[in-house]
Amino acid sequence: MNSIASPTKLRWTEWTPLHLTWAGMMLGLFWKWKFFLLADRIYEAIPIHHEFFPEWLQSATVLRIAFLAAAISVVAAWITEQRMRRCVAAAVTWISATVMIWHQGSYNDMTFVTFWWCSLWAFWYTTRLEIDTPEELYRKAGRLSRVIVSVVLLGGASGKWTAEYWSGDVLWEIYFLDRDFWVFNWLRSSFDGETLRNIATIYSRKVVLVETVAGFAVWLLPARWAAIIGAVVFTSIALFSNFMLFSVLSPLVGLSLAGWMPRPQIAAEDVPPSENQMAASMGG
Amino acid sequence: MNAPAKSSLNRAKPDWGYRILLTVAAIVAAWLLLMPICPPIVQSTMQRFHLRTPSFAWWAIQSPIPAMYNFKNTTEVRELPPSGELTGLVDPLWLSPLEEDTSGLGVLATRTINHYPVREFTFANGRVRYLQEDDPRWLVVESHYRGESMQSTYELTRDDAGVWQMVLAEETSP
Repeated sequence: MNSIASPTKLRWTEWTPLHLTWAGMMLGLFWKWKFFLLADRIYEAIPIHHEFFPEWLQSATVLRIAFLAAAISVVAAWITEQRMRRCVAAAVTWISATVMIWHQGSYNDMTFVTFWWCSLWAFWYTTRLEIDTPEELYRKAGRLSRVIVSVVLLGGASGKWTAEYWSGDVLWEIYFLDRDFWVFNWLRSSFDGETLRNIATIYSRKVVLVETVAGFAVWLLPARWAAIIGAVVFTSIALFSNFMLFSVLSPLVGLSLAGWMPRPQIAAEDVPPSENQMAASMGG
Repeated sequence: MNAPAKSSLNRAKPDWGYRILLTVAAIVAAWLLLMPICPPIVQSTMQRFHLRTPSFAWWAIQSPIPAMYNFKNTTEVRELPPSGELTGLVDPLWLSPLEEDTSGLGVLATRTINHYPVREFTFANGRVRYLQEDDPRWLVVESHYRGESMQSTYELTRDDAGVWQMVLAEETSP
């Protein structure tokens, strides 16, 4: 008898894509937790009335409830074992995200836009769990993941297809002039004004090209390539622009990885003994 | 549930959610790809950024469209109204005789901003920065994209209840 227990292997199951996306969404939601706590107090203390928004979408209480409902519903959907409850919880997450992208105090924060797309994907996924075969579910989930990632990247790219970004003007003014972030601090301390301005142009063109190429390509790539490239692109955007962007990009990193397609596994018991012996003898 | 049973159930239940999600993504992608060549889409997006969409419902429908770092957007926060409205408010003796341009008068801050420039007032940090006192404030925002542009001016005044009333003071689309 073998007394040494074999190490538990991480296995890709039907739940893995959903858990990856939910983990990314939760990370995104709580990445700026301290800021959101402060914002909540500010919205109570300094209210603004603007006819454009319906009254209820200007209420600090509504925003607070939507945020908490989003977080709680993700946890509830994760832990419940009952299919209908899971679907309802995932729907609540999406509805909460919808409130947040409409609310006066949060409409501008792209955290909630990426959260919205991921929550929509997650809701759809919960409706197909235990209905589709794993292979069918992976195939559709992966395609949807790649399509959503492409659309988000295209959203960033198309608004930059303009002279002000190609010349570097916009990112020069937003980042290079005075943004306190390691990349820009290092560049300012290392290069003089004219060189720095040229670097801003190169940096800006790089951003436009990466978003454009990735936006057009990711949905066409094989699943594993798309998963890796999506996760790398989104992580690198935050690492080289602004760590706060992890709140926007974490859900997309999770969604990208959710598109990973596991290799088809053949259970050992399905393989005839003669083939097992042959594989063993060949070192396979 | 074993695989054949799932397959039969799958065939019985068409996946409308999947089809709808793909369709929504395709519509959003088409909207984004047409934007550079379609001024109405640019204007609609600028109205969305400036909170000037004619109906809230149309603005809300557009809100999931990703728009990270779109357009060149600038903001100007003022403690006096923009120069066109200064007549009668500023004593000419205040102005330098050598300085004919009064556009810098009353400006508290200017900056280039990534998207949704009106957030300079609506988002939390802008409220703390500019709305701590009772004096009225003006916000002039501009967006530019491939020859299209939009400028909007908002006026904020604090009412007796301590609520800031935010009103679109000027509507220009040069």
